[in-house]
Amino acid sequence: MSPLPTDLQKAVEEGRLTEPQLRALIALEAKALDLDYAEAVARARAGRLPKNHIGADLELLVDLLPAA
Amino acid sequence: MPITGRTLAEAAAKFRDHLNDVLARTVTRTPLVMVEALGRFQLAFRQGGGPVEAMLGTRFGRVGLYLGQTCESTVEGGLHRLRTVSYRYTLRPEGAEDALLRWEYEKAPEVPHCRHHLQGTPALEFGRAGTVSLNALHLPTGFTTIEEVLRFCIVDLGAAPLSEDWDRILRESYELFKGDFAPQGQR
Repeated sequence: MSPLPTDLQKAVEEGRLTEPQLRALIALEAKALDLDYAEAVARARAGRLPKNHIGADLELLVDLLPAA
Repeated sequence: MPITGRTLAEAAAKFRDHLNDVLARTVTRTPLVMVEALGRFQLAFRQGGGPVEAMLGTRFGRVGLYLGQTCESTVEGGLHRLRTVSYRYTLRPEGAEDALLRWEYEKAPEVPHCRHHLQGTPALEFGRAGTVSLNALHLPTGFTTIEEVLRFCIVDLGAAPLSEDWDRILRESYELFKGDFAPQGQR
């Protein structure tokens, strides 16, 4: 997947994300799967993401979001 | 050593440090990274912020291992105690598009399949009905621990253990998890 912006990578390394940063990380992982943010979140909640480690990680990140 | 802390971050850091110690003495020195957001946290293999697999040499060739968990906490006696919200453990042969095996847990799935389940690419023979991909089913499992997945990698896949006492390390960590880490009702 594309390298993360420096500030987002720093936030991940420090172990704490704001909601906008979490959404940005989800969007970047979604892009690696050729999906946009909304489609990735919907597919994550329906268990329909690609069955690889990025899809698995996206599902877990979506579980950090407030319930739909 | 119960996994509790004065804050969610403190409890999560204890969990992360314990698992990274176990990993480094069994199958990989790739560390799990903790990310906290909105009152929950995720642990996963990450490099440069993005998710990665730990590559293991096995008797079947190189295999990518991904481990990830999302947790939240309940507050008991002023201390945060961890509770698993979801986990994903995947094994993908190098070069394969999809994971061969995926152990998953969902606390609240949108459809009423087994919350703890195994999926993957193998085809299951259903007699006259033909074959069905394991990805089309949610094969029931109990709560699968990371220790059990690591044991599978060493014993069944032939991943070279990183220390002579890997069996004791996994056994003790498993007992610790069952006794202290696993929240009631989540095992």
